[in-house]
Amino acid sequence: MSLVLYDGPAFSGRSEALRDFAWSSSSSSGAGGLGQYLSPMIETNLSGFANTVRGELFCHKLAMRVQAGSLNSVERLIADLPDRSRLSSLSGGELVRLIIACAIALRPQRLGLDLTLEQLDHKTRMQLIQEILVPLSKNLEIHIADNNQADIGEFCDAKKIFTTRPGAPELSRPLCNFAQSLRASKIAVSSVHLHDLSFRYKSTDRWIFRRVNFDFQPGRPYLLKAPNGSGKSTLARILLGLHRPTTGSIQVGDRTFRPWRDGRNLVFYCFQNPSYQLLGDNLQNYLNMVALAGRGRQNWIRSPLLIGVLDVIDGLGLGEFVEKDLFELPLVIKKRITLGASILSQSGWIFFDEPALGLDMTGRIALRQFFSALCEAGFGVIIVTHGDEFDGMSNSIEITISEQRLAFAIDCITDP
Amino acid sequence: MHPFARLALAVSSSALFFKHDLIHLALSLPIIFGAYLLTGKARLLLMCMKMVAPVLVISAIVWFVVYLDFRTLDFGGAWLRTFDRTSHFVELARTVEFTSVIFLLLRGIPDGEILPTLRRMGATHFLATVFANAEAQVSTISDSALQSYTALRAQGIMSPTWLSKCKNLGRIIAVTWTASLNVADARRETKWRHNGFYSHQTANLERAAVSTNRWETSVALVAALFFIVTNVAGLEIVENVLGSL
Repeated sequence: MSLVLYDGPAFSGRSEALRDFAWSSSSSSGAGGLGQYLSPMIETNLSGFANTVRGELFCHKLAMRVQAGSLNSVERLIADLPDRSRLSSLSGGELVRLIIACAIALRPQRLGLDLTLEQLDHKTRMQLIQEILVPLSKNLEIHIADNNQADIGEFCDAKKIFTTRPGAPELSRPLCNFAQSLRASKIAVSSVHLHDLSFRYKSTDRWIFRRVNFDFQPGRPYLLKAPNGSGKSTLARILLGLHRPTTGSIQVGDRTFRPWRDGRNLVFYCFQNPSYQLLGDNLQNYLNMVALAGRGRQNWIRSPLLIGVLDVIDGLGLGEFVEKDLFELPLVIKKRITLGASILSQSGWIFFDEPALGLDMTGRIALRQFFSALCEAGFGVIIVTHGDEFDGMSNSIEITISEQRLAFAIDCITDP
Repeated sequence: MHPFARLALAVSSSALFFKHDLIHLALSLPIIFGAYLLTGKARLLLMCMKMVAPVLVISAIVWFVVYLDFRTLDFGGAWLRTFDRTSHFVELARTVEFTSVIFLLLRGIPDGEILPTLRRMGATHFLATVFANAEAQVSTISDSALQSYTALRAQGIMSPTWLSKCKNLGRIIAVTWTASLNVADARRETKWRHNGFYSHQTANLERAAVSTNRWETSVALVAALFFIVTNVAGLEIVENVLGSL
């Protein structure tokens, strides 16, 4: 039994290999020879028979975990998840821990984790690898596809190297070229100030933010690095107007903005899972829809970016995917499409949630250049990330959420 | 609640269809309310009432207007015909009462336990699976609907105004539909089929211990008994009591 790391770029067949490994001799009768493959689309790994943590655990026969007294390592993994919480209210990291625990509870002989660990913050990720996966690998064969290999590598027994398949789409170079052309553009966007902003969920009565005062300036990337469940997505939801702050206000420039009732759109949100936001028959229809909505409403952006849907499709190297069904596209392509939509939406501020998820090294470098170009063009950019792929970006500011407040981590004004 | 008590309550509540008098329906109401409240499902009752009460009120008004003779303005006659034992409104009220009991039984099943509970209630494996899948699909759709709303707002396609929400209703439905199908399909292929979750569930179904709360079981059994008494012999009992007075 061993822990094997899959190393390779996008479109190298890592996911297919991982699925083949996990499902190679899975029998329909139950435990014997069963393999578990955990897809990067987290919700597809849930049973669908339950709405709460308790229900999901029951389906996987882990219901009595707390009463058991002696918690084993897998049970410790989920011990802090509130039993009655709805699955839809869990953070991304909590869901990842839950699905891993549930997969292990089915007593598989093989476990394949496809980009699943990338969605955890560094501390949880290391804890999971050291305390759960390494001991488990003595009795269970575990294969992991992951792009943040620096911290996993030393714990793995072997590495499988993959290379790009012939005919695979070239995505990094077009993105770099597009970034170059974007640098020449200039838009005017106002700064955003959170004034004494507090927020708590009424259902749990838990304070997420308390008296936050923070300035977001356009033209420099904000790297938001905070533990799972600390309120990163909640911040985005407040800026989008999906949650109304309990107290405090949001100022855009010198004007108060109430996104929960104002028709203007301040922020475009790129979801961690892009499947949530894609709509329409194909990517051209989707981008047209976003562009049309952007042009048809009042915006905070003062001098809009003059760029068309076809420019974005060509520029981002998406030409060969135009006719394909949006939902059948690979994760990296879906994420790339949402990058295009973010530019076309005329929102001025863009909130990227784990944009590097699923990207290989060259893809990450290209994405970094793209974000720099966005900032140089004048966009406001907030990037939620757990890795170090964007560290040291020019003019970047690393922020975190600590004690229910947004705080500066490191202010690094350096040129890479 | 023990699955047997659920079954007993479900069967006994069908006694609502034995007699056709409004008084039987009125007598059944406190039993239903009591069952909800005593099993700690007050929120569920409230939700049920919020959904059903407007339908009942509107239905009563509509039938009253239909039966009202506008030439003579015979309000008394219209009232009697609306609440007559054979009227459509009373039929609806009876169906609503019966449904609310079934609602209590099924929605009261602890999360994740629907498949083993239905099996213990005597449903065939096929029927239990179909029902559990349908219930799972409903929750997937409701999650997707919420997600679709968020997605449209997050991309500036829909603004928070009511007008914009109405304009984008078609899009919300379309996105919800595609997203639900997408998730359900991926889940079926990955989790249920290849990861062997479904076969694991099936194999362990008989051994799965479902939650059985003694208090809830007792309440359900007493309610079942009351249903039979009130609906089969209720009117006679009331008449006897009134007669003895």
